[in-house]
Amino acid sequence: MSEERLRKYETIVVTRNDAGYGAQNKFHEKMSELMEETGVRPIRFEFWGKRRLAYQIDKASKGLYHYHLYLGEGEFLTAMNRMLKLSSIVLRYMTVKLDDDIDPDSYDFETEQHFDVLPSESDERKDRDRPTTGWDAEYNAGEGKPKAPEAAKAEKPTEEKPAAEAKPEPEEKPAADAKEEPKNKDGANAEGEE
Amino acid sequence: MRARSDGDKKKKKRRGPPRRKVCSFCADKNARIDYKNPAMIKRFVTERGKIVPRRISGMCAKHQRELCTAVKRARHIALMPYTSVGSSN
Repeated sequence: MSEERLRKYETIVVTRNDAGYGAQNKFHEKMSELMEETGVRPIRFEFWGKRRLAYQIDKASKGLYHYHLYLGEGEFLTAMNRMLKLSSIVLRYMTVKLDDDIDPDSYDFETEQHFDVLPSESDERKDRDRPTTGWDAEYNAGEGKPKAPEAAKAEKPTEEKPAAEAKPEPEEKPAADAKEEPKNKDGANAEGEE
Repeated sequence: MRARSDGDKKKKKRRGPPRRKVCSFCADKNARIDYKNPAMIKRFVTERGKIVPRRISGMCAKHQRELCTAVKRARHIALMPYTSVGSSN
């Protein structure tokens, strides 16, 4: 039992944006069921949300990204590839082998553990302002590291605020002009005091 | 022939040894090449989406190989374009 050795894989699946929440949840359940059946040890699941594709795939320009990190065997991969190939909502998928020969009993799952929940229909509007999760959240938490593109998108409203605050600064420069003297009350007071 | 020789004369001669380029991933040990981070990989790809050769970017052979796989993986899952020409996005 303890001699069981697994490989570490990560799989990214891009699904159709217009498939609907029901189909997305069904696909996700199917995937997790398959993992349970084949004895896969899931480490992490991230839902990256809706992203613009770099090029159109099957006339779709946007896709939903699902990221799975797990310990498994080839048996699962063949079953998963078959399932993904037959699924009508899957646009692209890719599996990368990260590590070989891992003992699941001694593997530290907790450091990388993170499981996102797929958004429901009621979260449709919230999805746009969804906080970054998973690797991105951890990556952004790091000191002095550049932000991931999706993190930058999510924080756009906060980024715009400082820009709005910065606007009053240029107003100070033309204060010296004679035209703006009546507007600048402080300036007028200062002159009176002098 | 004359035109070419005139052009050569106008060119400024570079003096001294060429500027030494440093591999940015060797310089920064914490930086990782990750295909899941297209914003980082984009720095080593031209506007057309072609991988910048290492004679220009100054990457070392090891990291150029890693970068090359990362770009190809990112392209496959549509995080990066194969080419910017002809794509409607």
